[in-house]
Amino acid sequence: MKWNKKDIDYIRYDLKRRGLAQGQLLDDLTDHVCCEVEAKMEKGTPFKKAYEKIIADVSGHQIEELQKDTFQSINHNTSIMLRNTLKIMWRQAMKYRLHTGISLVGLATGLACFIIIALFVKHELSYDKQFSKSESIHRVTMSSSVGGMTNTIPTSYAPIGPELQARYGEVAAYTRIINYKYTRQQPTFTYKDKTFYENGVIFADSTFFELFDFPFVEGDVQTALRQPNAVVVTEEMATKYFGDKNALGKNLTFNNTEMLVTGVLQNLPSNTHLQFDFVIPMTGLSYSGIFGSAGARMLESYQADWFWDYLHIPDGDAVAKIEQGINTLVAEQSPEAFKEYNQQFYLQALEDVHLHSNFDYNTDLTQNGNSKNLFILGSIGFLVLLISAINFINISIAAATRRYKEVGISKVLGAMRTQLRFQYLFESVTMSMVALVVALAVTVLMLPTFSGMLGRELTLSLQQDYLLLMGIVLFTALIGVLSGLYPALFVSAFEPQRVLKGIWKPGSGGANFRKVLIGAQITISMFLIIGAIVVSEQLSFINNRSLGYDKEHVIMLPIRGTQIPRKFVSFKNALLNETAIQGVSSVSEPIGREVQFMSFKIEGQTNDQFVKILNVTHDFTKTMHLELKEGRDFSLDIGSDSVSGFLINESAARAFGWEEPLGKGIQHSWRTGVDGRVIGVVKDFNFEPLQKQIDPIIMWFGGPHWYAAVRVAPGKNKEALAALEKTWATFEQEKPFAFQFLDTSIQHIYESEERMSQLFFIFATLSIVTAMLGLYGLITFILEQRLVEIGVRKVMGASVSNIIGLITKDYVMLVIIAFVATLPITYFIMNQWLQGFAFHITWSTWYFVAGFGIALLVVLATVFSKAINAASINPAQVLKGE
Amino acid sequence: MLRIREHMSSKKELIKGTLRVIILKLLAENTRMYGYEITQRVKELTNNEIELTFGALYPTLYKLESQQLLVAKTIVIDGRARKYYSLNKKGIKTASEEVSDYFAFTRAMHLVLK
Repeated sequence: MKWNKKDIDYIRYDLKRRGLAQGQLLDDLTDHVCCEVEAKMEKGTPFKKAYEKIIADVSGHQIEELQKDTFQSINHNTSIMLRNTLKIMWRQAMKYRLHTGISLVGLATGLACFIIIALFVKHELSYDKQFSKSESIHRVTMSSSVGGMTNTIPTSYAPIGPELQARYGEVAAYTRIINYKYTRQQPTFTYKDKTFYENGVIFADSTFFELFDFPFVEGDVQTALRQPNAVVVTEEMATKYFGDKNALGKNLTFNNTEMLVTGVLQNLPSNTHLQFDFVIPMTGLSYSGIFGSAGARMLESYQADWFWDYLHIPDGDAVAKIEQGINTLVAEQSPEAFKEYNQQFYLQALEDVHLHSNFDYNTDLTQNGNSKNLFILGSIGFLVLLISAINFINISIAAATRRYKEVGISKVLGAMRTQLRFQYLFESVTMSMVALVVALAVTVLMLPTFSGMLGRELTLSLQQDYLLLMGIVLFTALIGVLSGLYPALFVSAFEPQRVLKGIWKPGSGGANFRKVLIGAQITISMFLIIGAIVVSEQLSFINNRSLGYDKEHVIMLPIRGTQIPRKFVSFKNALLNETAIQGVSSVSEPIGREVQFMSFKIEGQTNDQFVKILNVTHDFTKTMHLELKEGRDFSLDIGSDSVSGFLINESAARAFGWEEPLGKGIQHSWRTGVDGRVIGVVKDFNFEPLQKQIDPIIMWFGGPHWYAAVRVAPGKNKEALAALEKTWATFEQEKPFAFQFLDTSIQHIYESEERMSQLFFIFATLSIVTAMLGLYGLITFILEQRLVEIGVRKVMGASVSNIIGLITKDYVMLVIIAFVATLPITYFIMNQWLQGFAFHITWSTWYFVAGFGIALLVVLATVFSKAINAASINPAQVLKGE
Repeated sequence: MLRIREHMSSKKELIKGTLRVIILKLLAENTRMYGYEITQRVKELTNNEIELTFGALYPTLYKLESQQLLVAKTIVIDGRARKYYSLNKKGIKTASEEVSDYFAFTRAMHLVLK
């Protein structure tokens, strides 16, 4: 049958008119209907009738279904949909660059801060977990108490290890370590013409590497510490002495003793408390003669509490029994005179050493961590992340309500609600992921800087930190979902006819929820501002506090082990001839660090007393600028001073209950027969770190063995150092000259606090900036929505200041509420931190006022900057469209 | 979607999945077919038992096309465009797979329902 062109066109036109088909479907359907009509016409039905019959067969319901199915099968092509969604996303992002930028930068900053802090926290928690026996290694710690004063230390006696292993099968192995520093000398190592002073030298039992399996680069773990004249060095030291050549088998001169390098260790990771550069076998202790003839006896002694005893106890249940066993053992072995020290012994798990060590006299090889600071830092990380997440969610919600028209149009064009939901969720998750990528890039770039600041080697690696990274990815996705949820659930439900007619107006959605979120942000920011103020005040308090002595212009020279102690008087006189040098004395401790105890018989006290001691020579008070309250300093003219003279501080006089301290009796417990007398009382001074209160101290006259303290004329450092070096060289030919300024070494003590303050400051600033960025973004948006309202108000006669007042009122209220919320939290947390210092600032309302003021100021400045623009609009412009 | 007999139309959901296999099978056996031809062939093969409506047929064809299992070629016949559908390589493979899947399924169904 031949078709009439007119009939085909009619069918096409009619199908289109009825809304049955368009596009691709129209062609197919036209052909299909033509075929059916053809079949009917062949049976004799005329064209019109045949067509109508066929169309009538198609019910209304079927048409709808056909449209939907066709639409789905054509458009339900994920790649097309994704492309469209991405395109819309990009256009939105470009159209509202400010808001996109703010939410991206904000979230990326928050994530980066969090990742860095999390890496640090992870590092702190990872201390000493790398050894295969980490979980079952314990170390012996001890406390002694005399006269109500308890002294805890992480070291104990050398025979404890072997004796326990002999008595208890549960002790699988032990290793003992002693720090060379106990000699108060600095050793030198020499290879050919290279001689250096070294700090990290320890002696250890041959089992050391069995318990602590540090990886070796060269050498045999089993035999490395078996011969007495061996030394194991780290890679860094190997390079320092031997360059790129093999170190193994070379000779290294330790002080005056030849040592054989039997092993090279990989450089130590920063997450172990065992930090050293050289390990010498314990048998070398007597061999090298550094403790003189006492070296060998110390290993048998229940009096020299200088050894770290590490025990390997595979059975965790046996720990309590062995702890008891140490107490029994020492009670049996301890000399009679030690009984009154009430010594108690404990086992500390290796993994607790870094974060849970709080000893009165801490001698660990590296500075232990501080769980309180870690907690505060962790909280800051969490808060910064929270602020940025809130920001992101807030701005996304606000921005979504602006898209009401887009939703209307999309729906009119046939978009289904599920598709819109998907689109919004997809958009916000993608945005959050972009922020995460930026954050990771920033983290990787900034990590070296932060590692330096924190004094730790922080790394981000896919293999080691996959849990953290997975958590971060999930969290970021969650933020994305949360911020997409509001538009996905509510915005996608808009009825197009209402939205497009203008019945529904944007901007009102989620307003209260948003306010709560902003309030939370301001609260957190205020906490961080006040926290930063308190930390920096405390630190400047520490730095500027009068220590009771003058730390400026004092040079400390370690002289132990040199020729100088033997000729100290002539050394001193030679120096005093220099104009740049005002005073010279000697002292047993590097002032400002923890100080040792000794036991004394005190007049008026029945029991022996543990008192902290400094061992000094003539002119100590003068050199350090200590203030004498009563009596006099050690005098050259009075010979008995160097035997029986004692200086005490005011705290000691108070502790001993002496109204008239001069002339009262003090005796060393171990040196009877000398009638010691107090010859002078000095004003209290901070001989220990400021975390500690000022304890009683006894200064007695001892040989100038340890440090020479030299006071330099102000401004003459250069001349003084030149003179010192010259004089040193005439007295000591072998050992190189070494010195340290007292003020810098004291500053070193507060390093971790200093770091804490820097981090607090950086992260507080970042979070405040993030919060304010977020606020700025939101206000920009809200004012955009309220332009018409403002226009109407102006027409009705409102002034610019009226309108600014109206806009800012809400935010001032928010700041006030946030302030009330932040008060108790800030006080509680910061007070905890301050309690860690024996000397700390007292709370002042000023801190809170300042925190409130700064927050209010920033919020008002943000609001004002936008409100002024909004308030000065020309109402005609915004109202003409209404 | 499938009009088998009036009283069975409520079971169209049940048979919905078979439409795809039917189309794939028919196209695999014939080099190319157009829409109406497919409905007629099904009718013929099933003794008028199954009558495909265009409402079901075309969406399924488009879906197969978007999955890149078949290609469409438009030829002008009698003054109107007619689209011929034919399977590509991937389509032929899919057709034989889905047909054997279907037989396996009906065998299983048979075991369950007998």
